[in-house]
Amino acid sequence: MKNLDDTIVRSADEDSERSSSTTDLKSIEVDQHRINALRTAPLRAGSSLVTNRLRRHPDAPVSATQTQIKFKPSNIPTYSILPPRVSRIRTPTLHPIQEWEGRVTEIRDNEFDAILLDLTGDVAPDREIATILLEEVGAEDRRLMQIGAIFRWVIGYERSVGGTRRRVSQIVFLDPPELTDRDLKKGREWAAWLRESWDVE
Amino acid sequence: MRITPEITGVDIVVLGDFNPTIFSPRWLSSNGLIRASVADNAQVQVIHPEIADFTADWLHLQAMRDRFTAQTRQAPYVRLQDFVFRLFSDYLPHTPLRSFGINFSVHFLVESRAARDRIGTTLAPLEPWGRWRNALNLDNRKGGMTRLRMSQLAPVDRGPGGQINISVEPSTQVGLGGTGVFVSVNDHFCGSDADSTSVDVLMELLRKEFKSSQQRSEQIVDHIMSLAHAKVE
Repeated sequence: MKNLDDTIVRSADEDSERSSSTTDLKSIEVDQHRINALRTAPLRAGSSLVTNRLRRHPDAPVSATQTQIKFKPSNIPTYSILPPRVSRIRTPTLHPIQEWEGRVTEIRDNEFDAILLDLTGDVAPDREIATILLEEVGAEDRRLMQIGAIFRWVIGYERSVGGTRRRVSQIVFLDPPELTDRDLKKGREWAAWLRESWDVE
Repeated sequence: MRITPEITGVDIVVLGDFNPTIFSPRWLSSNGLIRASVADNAQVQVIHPEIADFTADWLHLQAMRDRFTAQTRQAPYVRLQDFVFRLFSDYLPHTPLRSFGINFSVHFLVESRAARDRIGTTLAPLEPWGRWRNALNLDNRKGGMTRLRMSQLAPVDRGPGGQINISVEPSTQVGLGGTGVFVSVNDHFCGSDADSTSVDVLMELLRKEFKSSQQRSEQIVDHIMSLAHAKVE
């Protein structure tokens, strides 16, 4: 019984260690056998993978956003249907070599002007003014383009799923936040506070 | 960074109490959190009361009852911070949140196995292993450092429970001939209590810390890269 218990703890630790390093996706790659084993294992009352781990390293609490030790035995029976095993879909990656934040200042037929702030490196960013061809901007992003719109311009290496690397330039307009009820409520509260503070009717 | 990485990624992991079923591409696009075209082409793995998992263009999202992860492997990474901030601040403001982590991970290639071994033996010297170190026999690929983690507990610039954790290990995605290195940095921030105001506190912290966390992580990774050329005594 003890051996089984230890094995489960060790296996889960291995998962947690592994998952912390990349994407935390291991949390849902805990396989069906292990979950079943956890369900049926006669674990000590009140024990959990978390407490087992902390007991070994009382001065070194584990960062919960890094590790995957959430399958507490006491929680297992609450699953009506066990979470399915999910494998990760691989997508191309884009590593930035240079990145700017830009603000559109003028738009013409085939190009636009923008003030750019170089975000690369540790030094304080310099402001630059650039003229950029509209064809650099994708159709979706062009719809967000207007005077004052904020965008990011990334020059970097795109790595395909197969591992091929190529240099790319990408302009992404950041979606402007929509006004929510919460924003309105906050605004009203602020206005009320101002009225009260300045004694204005 | 002195070596251009092959793969770079940023994850934001939030711990709290979540309802996974609401995290669908359609719900996110209907609230303007992702674009409609991105949602239309999302690859949904599963949407289930226990777990939601999908990939939509630059975004990979996974939500479980106690854990939410948003991940990207494509710059600009600020999109990810904006997305998570707006999701919780504007649309799920009463979600009880406990903590969050900003994870920065890099896979890079070094010029040779020897260079990778230099990183391993600098971080984890063989001498303290006594006679057993001879059995490791690095040149003939019998062993060596497989994973090393260093943690900084309670950094001065954040509240109780904060941590910075660094892991270094051989990459399983690039340089499979023995030249790939994987480094991940977990920057962990805790709130006080998971109550109705925890979103405001933690998301403001996320917005404030995201850039500096990324810069700090890049510096750490850059230093690890420098060890590939370190002298081993």
